[in-house]
Amino acid sequence: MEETPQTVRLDGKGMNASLEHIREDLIALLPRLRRFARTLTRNVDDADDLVQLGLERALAKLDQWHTDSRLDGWMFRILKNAWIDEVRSRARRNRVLTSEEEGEQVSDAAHEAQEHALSVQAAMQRLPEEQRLAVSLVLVEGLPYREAAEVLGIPIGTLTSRLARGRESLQSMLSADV
Amino acid sequence: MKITDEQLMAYADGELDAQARRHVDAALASDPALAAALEKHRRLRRRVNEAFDPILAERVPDRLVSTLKANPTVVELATHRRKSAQPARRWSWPEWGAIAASLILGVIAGQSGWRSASGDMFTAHDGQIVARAELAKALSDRLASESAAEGIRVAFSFRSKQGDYCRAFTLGSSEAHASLAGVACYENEQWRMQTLARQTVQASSTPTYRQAASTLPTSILTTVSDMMDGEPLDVGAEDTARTQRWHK
Repeated sequence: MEETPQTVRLDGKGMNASLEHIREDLIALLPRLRRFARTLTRNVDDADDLVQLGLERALAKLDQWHTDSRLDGWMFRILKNAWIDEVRSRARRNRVLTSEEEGEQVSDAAHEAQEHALSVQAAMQRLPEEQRLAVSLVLVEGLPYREAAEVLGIPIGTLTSRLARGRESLQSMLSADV
Repeated sequence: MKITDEQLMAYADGELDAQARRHVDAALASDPALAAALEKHRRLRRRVNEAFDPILAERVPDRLVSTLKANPTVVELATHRRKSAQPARRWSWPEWGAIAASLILGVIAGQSGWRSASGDMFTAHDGQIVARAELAKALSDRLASESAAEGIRVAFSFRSKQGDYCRAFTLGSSEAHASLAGVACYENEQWRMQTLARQTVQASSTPTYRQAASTLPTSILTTVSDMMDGEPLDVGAEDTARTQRWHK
């Protein structure tokens, strides 16, 4: 999605009315934004922090949203970017610890999956970032492939292969009773 | 013809056109293994939905709704100064987007009545909100001790830590039954807004420093105390600054 020309003008009442309108639409979207955030991070407070950051970023660049595109897709994209920024900056902070902890986590996951089926939420958290995003947008949020690919800024073919791999891993992690 | 797993997935997701769908339907009818694979896809989707859909019914935290409620009472332009007001976050977000000047102007315009005889008193310039018309004139010409005109009152003046001259002011509007309060600093020959707040109108007759300050919202005073170097200017210092056209 390329940056679009301003649709919010700096004067006049029309602009204010449309701002009001967008705010209302965003309020109506909040339950879905929270659901999407919870597929990215399981902790409720972290997820709501993510939504809040997304809203702040969205308000700061409302002039980049154009009314003929889907507001949900635009917001998912903002949330996704905010999440990735956060994950990356956390990864930088924790670099020293990463190798050890990650090794432990992987063996944990394998162990857990063998013992008993993981909860869907836990299984989602184990998916690689890109598969999780694809699964979340298509299966959880029900976006058409084309919209989901647009949110992620990738070709449809890439989306479907990530989706297929994500499904397969989820399936195997949940396999005990699937 | 063989149905690939991607085709089956697209079928389950309702992404196939009518012709491709008929094709898969036919294969499903004669291939129990394929039908079982489809059922697996569907069951996975159901499980995922059952896991996440209940979130839709949860009560949305107030803080998220209030982030979106129109007309934030205080809109800070100098984002690096917003240290004390924010509640601690669990995550350290890498950046805190500045609120776009266009949005703030929208809020101001929505109040109606922030216009003078010669037009809007605020305009955007280089991503900043700057004073114009009567507001710019009052900030340049009027001492804090002088009486208000056009609903504009300069509360006091001070120097910022960068050495710029800054002035706290209020701007009343009988039309909007509210007033704006703000801090503007003189930089590059312009009065640039550092912070703006909307407040309800308070009648105040004596424009002394105390009185003037008492009608400014706490958020503005907090910003001022963060920015200010030393004390507010006294009448003499203010007059001198005016004479040198607010140049550092």
